Amino acid sequence: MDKERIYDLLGYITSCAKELLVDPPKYGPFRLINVASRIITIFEEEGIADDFMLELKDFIDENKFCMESDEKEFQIFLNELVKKIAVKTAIDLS
Amino acid sequence: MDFDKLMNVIKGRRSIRRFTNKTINKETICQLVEAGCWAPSGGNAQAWVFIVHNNREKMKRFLRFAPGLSEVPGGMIFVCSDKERAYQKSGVLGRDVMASMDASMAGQNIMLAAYALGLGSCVLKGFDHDAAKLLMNLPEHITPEMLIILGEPKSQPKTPARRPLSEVIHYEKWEVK
Repeated sequence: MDKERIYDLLGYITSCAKELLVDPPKYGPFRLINVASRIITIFEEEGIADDFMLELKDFIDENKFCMESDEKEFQIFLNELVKKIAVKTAIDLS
Repeated sequence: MDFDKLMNVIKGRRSIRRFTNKTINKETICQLVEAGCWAPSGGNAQAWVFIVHNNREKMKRFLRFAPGLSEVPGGMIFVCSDKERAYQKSGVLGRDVMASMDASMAGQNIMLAAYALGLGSCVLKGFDHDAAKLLMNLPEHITPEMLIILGEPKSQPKTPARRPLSEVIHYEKWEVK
């Protein structure tokens, strides 16, 4: 794995931690969701992302910005996101 | 001057965070900076500096230190205040207050001009200032006030509602609403 990509992620996570000390609370979930998207991007670039991950990334990137305009919609989006992963987990385990 | 056209630009501008891969050329970025330079400034100090970027590989470095930046945009403008110039021209108030306000007004001009050119833009404060100063080799007296990201919009976000005028206007004195 390209070490630079890991440094990209480390820089992002640590910068987020610093910014979140002064950011509005709703930015916490937003930054975490961004981390999820960035992890998938790294996997994609490394050729190890599967179709489910790529779909998840699209879903995240399409919907995450509603955090700014509609908190209720953001909540629904997060619920759906976790549900998608839960359904996948249940299928994988069955 | 056509008021309706101006209002269409003001009302049509949205914060765009997702862009196509198209790079914004240097000439266009210079046009936008010129629009920024025509903003008003306290004491006409013009205590601003614009660090412009359109190299995708180099912009990628900022993804590490800008939580507000989700992807590499087509171009970026860091609107900075020059605290030394602000102090020389407008004293302590200029350095500590007005320079930031002036940078904000320049930023708005840039974003409106971008919209008029068919570009999307978004202003970000979510970047690490220390890292930005290091990466751009900024001297102590130059403060990055905001980052404006630019690009060809990938999608058009919904228009968020605005608070009604009746809620925000107070005639001549504070009115309990």
